[in-house]
Amino acid sequence: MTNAMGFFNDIKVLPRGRYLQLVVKITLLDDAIIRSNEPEEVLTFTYKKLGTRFIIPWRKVKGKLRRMVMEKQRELNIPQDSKCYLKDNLCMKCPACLLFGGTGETSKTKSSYNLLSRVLGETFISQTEVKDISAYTANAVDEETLTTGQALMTIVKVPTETEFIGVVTLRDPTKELTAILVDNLNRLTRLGASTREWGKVKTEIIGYVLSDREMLSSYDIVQEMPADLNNIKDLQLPPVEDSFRKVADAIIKILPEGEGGQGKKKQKVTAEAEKE
Amino acid sequence: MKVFACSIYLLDPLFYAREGLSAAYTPHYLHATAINFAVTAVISPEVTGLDPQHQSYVIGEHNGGRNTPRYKNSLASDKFYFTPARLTTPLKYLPEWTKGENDGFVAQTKRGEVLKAEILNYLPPEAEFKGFLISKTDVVFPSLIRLGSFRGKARLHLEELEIVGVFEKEQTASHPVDPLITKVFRGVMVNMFPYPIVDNATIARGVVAKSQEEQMLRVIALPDEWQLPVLKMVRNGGRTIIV
Ligand SMILES: [Zn+2]
Repeated sequence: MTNAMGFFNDIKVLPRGRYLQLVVKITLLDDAIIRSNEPEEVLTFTYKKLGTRFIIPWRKVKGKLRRMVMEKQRELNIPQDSKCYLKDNLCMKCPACLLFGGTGETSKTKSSYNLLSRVLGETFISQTEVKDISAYTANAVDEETLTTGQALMTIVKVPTETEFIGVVTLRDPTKELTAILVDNLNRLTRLGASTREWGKVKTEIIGYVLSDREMLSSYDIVQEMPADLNNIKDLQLPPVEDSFRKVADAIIKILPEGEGGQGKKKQKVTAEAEKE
Repeated sequence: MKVFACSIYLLDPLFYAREGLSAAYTPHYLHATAINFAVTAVISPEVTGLDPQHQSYVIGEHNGGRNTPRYKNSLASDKFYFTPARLTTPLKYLPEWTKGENDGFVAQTKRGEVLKAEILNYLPPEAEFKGFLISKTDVVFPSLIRLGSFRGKARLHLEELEIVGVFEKEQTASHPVDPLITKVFRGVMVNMFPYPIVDNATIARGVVAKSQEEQMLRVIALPDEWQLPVLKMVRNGGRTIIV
């Protein structure tokens, strides 16, 4: 069942082929630093078509987003019976696990099921080309990672105000799932682990497209902004706290019975049953 | 039956090596399992004929087992088939530090220990693979698909080819072949997951097709269980129509 906007009113176990694509802009409010000798938050890549650009791998954004969703739901005491923590204490039955997926193997609850991520992303690409990289070499000493010694590392600065474009996609969106994702995207003000060195960011949702398949990519958008983006404000999303509670209740219904859920066990949920 | 030249252009880095992290180099072929299941993941099960449970958000014992492969070969739908594809742009790797962030490469760390990170060798954006698509029905294929361990975006581009003949004697296929789908006599085995494919494969039956622009003929294998199309040449304003 969909409403007039094309959003679903409930959460199902089977994909229904609808994609909410959010065009997201991340702007650096400080200089950022790229270090060559440990996992970087921002890298450069030289494209044939786009020239050299700064890029942020999706994993970095996803990891941060997931942490924020977890913090928010912990604040709201969701789920009530267990807490969800990265990396190996996933509860497998909270809004964060539903949105970002998880494997029962790394789960403390030893669930015999995996959850597929409903949030899909991609590499964020800087709007403008990298000019005059100011790289210098320094001793690799870092208190936070306790890396010491004589190793040399190259440091590259990503200038303040650098803007990155990416597309974050939510599969089979409901208004509540969208409200959670949008709220946490808007609250994404820092990226990466080393906040002492890694500056602040501002995250904005430029617009959205709802479609039966994915059509947008940052690779295309940095070349030309699509003209038919809708304004996220027009969606009139429900309050995020209510959304967390509603989604948390809905998850229990789709999980297998015996795993803390109320779903069907050893019984195939057919496409027919899904249509009811 | 229609055949298409298929190009897959990476928009995101692609990683899908499965051996240990120390040798994590992505092969420069795309397995037909990867392409067919990436495409069927986007198209509705009513079109593909695939059991929708294969794409369930919850994967567990109740619907076929959590870590059990959900296919027996690369033939995902009986309506269409993508052959394996090979890299046509120069091979270069994009090494990237990847640390465990619940993204499948979790490295256990103790307090005070240097956070462990590994290098994964991706194929970079703008790399392009080429293969073929054989379609029995008119399906609107997606223009974006997701591939690899991190489900990176790739652009799918199709160009319809003109079928100019069928063959039932040994020929060398213009694309790598999945030996579980098409009988192969000789060729070069390419070791990759989930099982090897064969390049420069000699096959016994298939179609010959050509593109409008290039006059080069392509030899395309069909799945063994599919029948060869019946070609009937009809003259129509100088153009050959296939019925
Ligand atoms: Zn959880």
